[in-house]
Amino acid sequence: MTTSVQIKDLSLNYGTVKVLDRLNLDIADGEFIVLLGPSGCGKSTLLNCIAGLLDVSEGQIHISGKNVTWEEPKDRGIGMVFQSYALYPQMTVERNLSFGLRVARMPKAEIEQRVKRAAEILQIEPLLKRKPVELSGGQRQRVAIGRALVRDVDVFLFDEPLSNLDAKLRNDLRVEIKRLHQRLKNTMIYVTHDQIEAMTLANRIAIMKNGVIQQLADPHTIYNKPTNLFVAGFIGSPSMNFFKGDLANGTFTTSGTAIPMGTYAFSGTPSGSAVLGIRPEHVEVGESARKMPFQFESEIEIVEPMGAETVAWTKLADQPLTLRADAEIDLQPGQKILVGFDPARGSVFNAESGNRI
Amino acid sequence: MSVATANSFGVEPSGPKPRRITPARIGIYAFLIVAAIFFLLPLAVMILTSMKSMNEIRGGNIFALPTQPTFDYWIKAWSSACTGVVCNGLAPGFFNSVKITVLAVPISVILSMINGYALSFWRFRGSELMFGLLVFGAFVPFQVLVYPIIFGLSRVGLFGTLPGIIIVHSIFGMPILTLLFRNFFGSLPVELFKAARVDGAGFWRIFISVMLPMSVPIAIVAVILQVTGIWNDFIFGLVFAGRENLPMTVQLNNIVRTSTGTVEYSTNMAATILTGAVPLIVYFVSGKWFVRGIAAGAVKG
Repeated sequence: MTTSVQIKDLSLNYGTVKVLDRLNLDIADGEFIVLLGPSGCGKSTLLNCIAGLLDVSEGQIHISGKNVTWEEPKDRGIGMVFQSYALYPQMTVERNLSFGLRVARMPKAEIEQRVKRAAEILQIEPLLKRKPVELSGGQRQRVAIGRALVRDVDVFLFDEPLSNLDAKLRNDLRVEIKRLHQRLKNTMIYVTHDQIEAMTLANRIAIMKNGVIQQLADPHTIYNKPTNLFVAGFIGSPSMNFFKGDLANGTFTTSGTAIPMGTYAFSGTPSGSAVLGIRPEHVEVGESARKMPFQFESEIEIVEPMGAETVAWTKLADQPLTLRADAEIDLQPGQKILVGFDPARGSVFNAESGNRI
Repeated sequence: MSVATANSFGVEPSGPKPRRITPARIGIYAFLIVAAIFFLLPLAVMILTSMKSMNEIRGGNIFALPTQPTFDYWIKAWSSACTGVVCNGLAPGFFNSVKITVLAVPISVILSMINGYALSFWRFRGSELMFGLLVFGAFVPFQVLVYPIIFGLSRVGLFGTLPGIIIVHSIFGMPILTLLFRNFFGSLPVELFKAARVDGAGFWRIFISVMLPMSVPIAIVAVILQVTGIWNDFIFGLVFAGRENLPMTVQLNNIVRTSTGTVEYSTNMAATILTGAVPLIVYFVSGKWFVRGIAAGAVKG
């Protein structure tokens, strides 16, 4: 596969504040990359750098094999969709879509044809004569996507495009974006702080913190083999349970409770101070807990029925433990129940560095 | 008696709460009415007096209605009242003011709009300092600058000319209008600007196609501020306009202060009302825009 976007040692400083710190990222042609992280992690800044809306302090950006570090946004072969839609309020949908083409002095017939095609793909043909104020949030975002579509670009950039929509629309449009990607097969770079969007859309997710990519991998790896404590805690809801303790001879000990790690794939034979992370959905209760390699008796403290499942709070070695159970299992506060999990499905991190071991 | 009906209305609460006239409300209305009368009284006296003959003014009280209302003094004020030795009335001053306003307002509004746009979206090294200096300009007492400007304009031969007074008004309008426009553009989502740049538009294209259509309301506010400001100006007109281009306010002063013979109150009143009519009409017609302008001028720097 050929690379579509290549970022080499990219840094961006505001005075002494490093927003991006010698960042490297290779994105393959047709790939859907999601930049995910908490606010202030530099993900939107990185996207703006790729778009050419921010000048970089150091490093290079290559798009489709061309060094575009000093190019104007319009010459980079990118289209961008913004969180606030950023539609031109005084223009009709049609004029919004064609603005970039009119600026580029494209022949009228070609403009018409491209607008028609984009409107068809996004199913906004009936809206062409309307002004943005007369559209709903979802329709506005479709138009915004269309504005990138008509320009026939190599790379689509999305800056939290669904964050202003309500939950249901967000789900609908998310599927729509996925469908669009499958149809167009363009490279897409998508910034979000919503992990569901990241998990569902991405070929690969780049998790960012303080201007540095923490882990770049496919959603399955990110979820099951987080590379450090930050990634482990950021991905997953409710978040991963962490236990501080010591690791020696393949056994993890926390507050006097020994947990044999079984078949856990350690890199090398680490020992010393460590953190064990267990996902709530990997913890079983009641009958199914009997099959688990590690079991213990515990008291349920709080129960949150979610409909599809039930989230419950309990304790392991006097430290809080959340678990997700089937909604059919009847859990009551104060109830003593058997709890079990497979430590091999968990993640162990070095307590000092926070890195996976 | 149940608890639910134990209130001052004597009925069980249901539907909209009955409105009562409270003493506080009566007080507010009383105050507003008194304030309105207080501020309208001078205007009423002026209009009444301008329609009375001199005999009637000498004899009667100032609030009395004219026994024989006449507009003769209005006509006199407009076309034949004496300003010093010339007796052409206010009319030449009116047309001078119109000339000055019509030319200076578009220049200052358009320049300030471009300034505000550039300072909001096209940040460059030192743009904040630039803006700071411009805003500082709004707080420099202009009396301090009168002599340096006389000196400068004489050097280029524009002192005492129509272009001279227009340049002075355009420059002095810019700080506050730039502040107004920058705050307006600063309130627009920056993503709009970014989207236009991704679409390939440059400085002027974004300004004309995207920003200009959105700034019509704030431009109206700016025009109102500038029209009333320039029309009401006295000192610049007196100093810089030159004998041929004296604005209406200066002419009014000359009429009122001409001290040959008796003081003709009716003519003076009529002349004053005529001079004040333009801003007054602007205020009335523009109502909500003007209020918005005052509010916009007061927002954060």
